[in-house]
Amino acid sequence: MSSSKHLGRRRFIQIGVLAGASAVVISACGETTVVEKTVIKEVPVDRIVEVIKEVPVDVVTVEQVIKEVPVEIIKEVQVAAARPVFVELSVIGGPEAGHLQFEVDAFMEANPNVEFKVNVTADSIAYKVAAPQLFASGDRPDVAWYWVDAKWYQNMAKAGILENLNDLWEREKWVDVLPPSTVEAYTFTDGNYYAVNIDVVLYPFIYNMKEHFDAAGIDLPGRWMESMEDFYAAAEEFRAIGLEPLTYGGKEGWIVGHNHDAMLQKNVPEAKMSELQSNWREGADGQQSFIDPDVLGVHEAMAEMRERRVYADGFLGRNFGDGRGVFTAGKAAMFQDGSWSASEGLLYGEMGEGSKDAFDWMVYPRMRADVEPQMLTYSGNGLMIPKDGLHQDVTQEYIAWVMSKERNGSAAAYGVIPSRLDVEITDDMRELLGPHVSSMLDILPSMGAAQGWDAVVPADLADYSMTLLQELLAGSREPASVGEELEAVAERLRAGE
Amino acid sequence: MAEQPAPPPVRAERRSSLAWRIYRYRLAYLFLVPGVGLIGLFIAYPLVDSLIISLYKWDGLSPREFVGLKNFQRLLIHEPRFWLALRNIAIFSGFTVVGTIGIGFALALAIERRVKGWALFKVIFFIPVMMSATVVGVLWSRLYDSTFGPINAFLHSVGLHQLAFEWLGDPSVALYAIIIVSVWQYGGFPMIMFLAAMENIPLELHDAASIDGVSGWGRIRHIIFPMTRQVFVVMTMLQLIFSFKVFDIVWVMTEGGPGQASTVLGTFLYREAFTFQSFGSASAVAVMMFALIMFFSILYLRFVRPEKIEF
Repeated sequence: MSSSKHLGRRRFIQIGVLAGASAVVISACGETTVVEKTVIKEVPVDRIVEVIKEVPVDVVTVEQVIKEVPVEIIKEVQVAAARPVFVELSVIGGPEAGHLQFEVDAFMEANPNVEFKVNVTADSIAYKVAAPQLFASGDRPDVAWYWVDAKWYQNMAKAGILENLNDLWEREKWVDVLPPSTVEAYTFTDGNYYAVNIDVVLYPFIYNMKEHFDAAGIDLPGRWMESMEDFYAAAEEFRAIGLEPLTYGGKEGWIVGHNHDAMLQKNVPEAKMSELQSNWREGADGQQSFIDPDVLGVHEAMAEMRERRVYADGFLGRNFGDGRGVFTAGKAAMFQDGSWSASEGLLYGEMGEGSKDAFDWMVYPRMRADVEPQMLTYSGNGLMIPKDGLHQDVTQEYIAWVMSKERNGSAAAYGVIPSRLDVEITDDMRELLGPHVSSMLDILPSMGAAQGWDAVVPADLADYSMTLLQELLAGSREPASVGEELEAVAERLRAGE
Repeated sequence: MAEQPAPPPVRAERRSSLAWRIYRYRLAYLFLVPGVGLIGLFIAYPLVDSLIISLYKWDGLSPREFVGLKNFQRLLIHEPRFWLALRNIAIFSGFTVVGTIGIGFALALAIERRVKGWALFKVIFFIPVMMSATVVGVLWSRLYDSTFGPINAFLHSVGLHQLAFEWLGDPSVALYAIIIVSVWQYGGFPMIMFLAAMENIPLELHDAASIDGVSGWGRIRHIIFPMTRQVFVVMTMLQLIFSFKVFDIVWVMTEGGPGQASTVLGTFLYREAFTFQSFGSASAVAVMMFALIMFFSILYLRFVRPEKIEF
């Protein structure tokens, strides 16, 4: 600043012209690919003065600048003179953090004046409850990962604390490259887009420890057991040889919810299931209710799983990691979790050498002859921009970067599936995804995938259902009352309460 | 001798009005302002705001909608989990208060007797008090694990299989498992208080008791207990208040599960606020907790009047 006081008129004009010419030259270059683009920021005078020594002192007009000064030098001036841009990204731990950090590193390399700070919250439950308040506060991140489903996200969009991304959706033409169901899920009730899906996961699966099946004398099933009786029989065999049959962290409601969702898909025909996913909406006729015999059948089956000791002892007192620990320690024959578990960050990493061949996967057993077992997909892993976040030109470019066809495939390295339909799953990606997720993708077209029930219903239903199911599995609630309670909530929602 | 001039007439004191008192002691009041300000900002204001929020329906993000006493009505009439949480907190508080006071008193008695290593025991029994509840919760969760935990491993090894419960996974046991941890963690605090009170008992009383041939139990009954009765009253009050507000240790160990079996008012409030996004309802729970604690504190003090013993 003090140097500007001593600038003569001639020098001042030179600097001004150079700054203006630089902007003209860069904008005249037209759109470039994201890899080459440099984020242009306002160039302060004192910074320009520091780097101006390479520019001839007799340049005074824009035409002379464009003619005399090579574009490369102008770009260097811009980059060197630009203030670094600091951007904060919030994300939960695990594969999502790995994926986004990888993209952050690549983005920063391509945009040297941008610096990201990635805030990772290891506890996903803590992030889920704290993030909406954070996004609405003065400490909001500039860009954030969050679950885009019918729970907190809906409230955030309704409260107007997320930026509208319509322009980005239109520019990047995501409508054409994402599955229609994803586009629909990401279209808010006001018709706008406030987030975009960056990757997809499949769930829930039952991972089978091969050696335990051998030891119990049970043939590894195909992709599902043909009946619940087969499942119960297998559990008895495992117990007989001192193993826990099925483990997961039942203390965390969402895992119990996945168990429920999987069995709903197996016992409720598709048309009814679709009704169940929307029967809570205001004004819905409620024809398909939660006291339907097919839904009751699911709750009764879960209660029977408890009575027949399919679940590992004490599973309701274990969290996500501890539930998995029983499996990786070799104490349980089966472990329920999503496709994300079969990755270096979780099972492969924890089980070490040889783990990729140590276990196989299946879905929950067939429950009725006329409903084919399917996987479930979750496309709620979304990137969004809290309203009035700083540097929105940068954050939007980052989102576009992650979602570009060239970059979207990098999700595979973290055990999650690219969200774009036009990203080809190459052999390299299969290598990164691992044998289990690769085989899931191979079988997906024939097996098919449905949407999980609790991914599309509001928290009043979804989170309440998890509480009810935990009570069911603890033996303190009867199966019939689970449906009755859910139906009571659905009635209130239908009535607009 | 010349007469002394008459003293000037004494000015009549102004009537002591509040304004005059404040002016007179202005420096003292000035020193009080920061403390009162902080209490107002961080205690009074949130308390009042919580009361106000309890009259609204609010998801924490959108504008608030006034609903009057509907939140209270829903909790008291339509929400069985609230009553379950109330029942559980009554059990938790009851056992924790009796456990910590009883154990604290017993430990203090033992240490006061100067058994060998008494100074070390004093420190050892107080260490859990200094530990964070989160750390204690995680530690005991590992100890209680039915597959990997050392407690069940020990019980199996000595043939006590029937006692090897699913400590945190069995709804009939989980709450009591947490109570044990709470008593373990907080028993040391009353111990220190009782110890200090016991050490202040005049030696002459003990000497007189020895001369009179009073037994150990008699000494406790007729000397130690009466002389530490005020500590009993205060500690009971404090433990009651602390245990009534419990959240952290329950949340870390079971999150109120399995199946809400160990849910207490603190965890219930947390779920209402952050799982179901019903901040109005959560504030109503907080208001009722405050009212209950106040009520029981006043009731307790009214009926338990500690007397001073004079010699």
